[in-house]
Amino acid sequence: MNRFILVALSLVTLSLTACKWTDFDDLSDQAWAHSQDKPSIGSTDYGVSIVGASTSGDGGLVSVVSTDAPTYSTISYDAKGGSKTGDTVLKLGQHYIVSLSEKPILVTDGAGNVALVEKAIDAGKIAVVSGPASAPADLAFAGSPPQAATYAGSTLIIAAQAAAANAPNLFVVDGANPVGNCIATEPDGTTPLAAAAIAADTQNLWVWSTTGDVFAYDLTAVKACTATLAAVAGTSFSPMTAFAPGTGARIHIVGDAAGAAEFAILAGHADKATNGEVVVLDLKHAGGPMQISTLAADGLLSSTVATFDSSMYLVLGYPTKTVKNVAAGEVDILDLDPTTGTLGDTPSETLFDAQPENGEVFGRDVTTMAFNGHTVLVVAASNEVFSYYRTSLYPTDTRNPAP
Amino acid sequence: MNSRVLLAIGIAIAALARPALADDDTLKKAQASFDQAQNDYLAGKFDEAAKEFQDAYAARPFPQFLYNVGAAFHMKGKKSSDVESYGKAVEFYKKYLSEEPNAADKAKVEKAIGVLEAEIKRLKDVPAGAGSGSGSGAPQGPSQEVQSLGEVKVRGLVVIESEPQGATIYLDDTKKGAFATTPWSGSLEGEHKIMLEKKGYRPVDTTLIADPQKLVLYKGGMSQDSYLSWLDVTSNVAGADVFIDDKSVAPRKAPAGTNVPPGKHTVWVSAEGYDEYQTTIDVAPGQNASVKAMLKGSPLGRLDVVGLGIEDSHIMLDGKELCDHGPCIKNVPEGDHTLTVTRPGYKSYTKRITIQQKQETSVKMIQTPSPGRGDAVVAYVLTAVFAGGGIFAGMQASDLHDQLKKEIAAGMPPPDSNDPRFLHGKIYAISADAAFTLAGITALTAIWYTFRDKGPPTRAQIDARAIALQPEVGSTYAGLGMEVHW
Repeated sequence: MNRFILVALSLVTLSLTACKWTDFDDLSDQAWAHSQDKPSIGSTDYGVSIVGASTSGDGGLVSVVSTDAPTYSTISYDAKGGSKTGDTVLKLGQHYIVSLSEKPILVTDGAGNVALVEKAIDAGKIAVVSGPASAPADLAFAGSPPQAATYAGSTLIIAAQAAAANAPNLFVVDGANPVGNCIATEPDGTTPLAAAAIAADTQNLWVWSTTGDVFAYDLTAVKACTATLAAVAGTSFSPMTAFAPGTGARIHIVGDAAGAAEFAILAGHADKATNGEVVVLDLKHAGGPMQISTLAADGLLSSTVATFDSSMYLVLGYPTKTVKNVAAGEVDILDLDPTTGTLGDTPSETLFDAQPENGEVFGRDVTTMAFNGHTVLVVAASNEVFSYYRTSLYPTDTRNPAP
Repeated sequence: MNSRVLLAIGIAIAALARPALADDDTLKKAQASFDQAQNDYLAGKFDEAAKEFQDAYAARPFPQFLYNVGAAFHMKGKKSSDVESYGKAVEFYKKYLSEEPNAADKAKVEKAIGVLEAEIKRLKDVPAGAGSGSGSGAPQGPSQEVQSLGEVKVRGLVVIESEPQGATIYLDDTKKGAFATTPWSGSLEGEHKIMLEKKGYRPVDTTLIADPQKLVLYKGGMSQDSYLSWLDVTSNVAGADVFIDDKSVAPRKAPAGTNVPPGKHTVWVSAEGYDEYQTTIDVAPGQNASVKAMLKGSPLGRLDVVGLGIEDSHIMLDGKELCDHGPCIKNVPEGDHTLTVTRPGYKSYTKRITIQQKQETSVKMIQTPSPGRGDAVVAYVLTAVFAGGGIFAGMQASDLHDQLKKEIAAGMPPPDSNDPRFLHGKIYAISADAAFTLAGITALTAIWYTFRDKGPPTRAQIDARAIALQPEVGSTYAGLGMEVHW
């Protein structure tokens, strides 16, 4: 038999039976979600806290705080959806932070700046790593352990547990400099502020206290913050469930076109696994804040408010929730009516890892990122950060070009 | 006219007028005397045996009877050291050779004559009374030379006759050609088929068992058949194969004559090295017809295929069987030929050889066993394993591809880019490709192993040597002599 014919037949057979393994690369590029694995930055637990740090332009940027050992890094996304670890990787041990709390405080001003607020290695000091996400600077100043932080414009406001009576518990940092501190009291006028979460609108600094009460301080007074600070009268509200928020509690302010607060969304849990709750308050109610709706949210650890394709949603992370019989965690996205403050009864979309693994803690933090001019959802899990370039809520692929 | 002349004429007339029945009587008388003589001979009554053999000879003068008379006197002389008996033995041995000058045992008989004549001389030279217990060394028995001749046995005889005489005798098979013409007498051994044919007579045949110590008679009575025709086939090549109407039967040897039914007959005459001759002849009832086949031949050389294991080999020349098995010695037309030698379990041998006129081409085969195919089997098994693995991995890759594609299209929830199934699918696909590649390689290897010729080929040593044929004539023979030079 002619050997040439044999070879030709074999090659034809091979070509007919061969599998194109590059198809999986092509298919992977078409996946709606992109996963960034833990880079080699010296931390064993990557993505404890994340926050979107990009504002406009092509691609996107997310700040990531990891632990063991503590590091700060970024994920830089290109317009096509590819990602890499940013050039700046801070070993936080060299920036006053030797250990991180269970839920590190990582906030953004929405203009490209981020701030990581932690107890400093030096006793009686607060450590802040803040500034442009790609090149933040460190700062440490006298203060008690921080409990919550938020940006009010470019001003970073930090609520801390008072070390003693009449000790400062509210700190104001402008850029790289602490500009003031004051002694804030709760609405009773005597109890030192103990904040589980804080958030600011254009007029007030809203507080969700560790006892479950909601009240506000005048923002101008907060920024001045030189002596004592009392809550604004008529802003106090105690949720009917007397819910006491713990780790991961957040207060989200939904404002009007002018930035004035209309609704407050309280999301948190009393302990790690149970007693989670979401409460929506109408802040403009004539008689003071009024509870509009509540939602049981056991296991809730993270939350954010996002606007996808002009629709507003509340994103809730449940990192211990069981998915496909595996305690891998999931993220629920609920409709949020910005006019009435009403939450959807059931999630508009539920996200989880298509291949869930036990202990994956999918949704231990959630945030949004400006990506190619769109807002996309970013979810942190154990040693993975998922970026959703497309969901059923924003079905047009945000990648440029779309795969 | 005297009375002696009248008696001779009377005997001659009686002989000429003797009917066939008289022949039968003489034959029976000869057989009866022979049988009696044989019995006497075995009983040691050598004088009686000699007389009965002479009576048999008187009835039918077969030379073998004379030999038997000599044998009887020979044995009597040996037993009694009787000079007179030895003398008679010599006398009848000589008569035998006189009537059968080309006897096959001529040398042996001549030797016996010499020994006996020496013995007679030796006995005559012994003084009288020396043999009666004087103890002086006189001969007490036959000499050492006589002893060495051994016990002499009388000889049987086969007699084949026909009525009428003159029929052609075929022995065992017509393809051997004519054996003799009746009447015939001589020695045969074992069982034979005797066939008699004569022009205008129906052929007859019988089976005859020849006893070397008995007189065996066969006389075929042939009846006339005016309807049969007679066909004679002759050829310029003696011994050529003659086929009449049917080429599947054993051929006769030219010249051949046989009865045939009236009508058209096809005759083929062929001989090795000659072109086949064919003709059709129309024979009328009761008539004689003849075919003279002039064969045209081409010059011949001889091909001799030998070697170890050639007995199990099949030899083909130009695609046609030359020998069913070796050793194979055949005359082959000169020119180029393709020789093919095959043997089960051994590599076949094919060679273009040139046969030259009057030359013997000797091909000594050195055959090599065919290689085993175990390595090919292993390669086929590996091919199957790799192909099976490739199919499995390919199916897994395909399933994962379809699954991921479906989930991506559904988007609830969408798999992420680092979903392990992408990696698994890629690994499966690469594994499938690798397995298919290996399967292809091993398949090619297996095919190559199947058809490759491993080990040395079967080869042959080819020698050509001249054959010189020349006529030779001697005192008692004529023929062709051959010299071989190489």
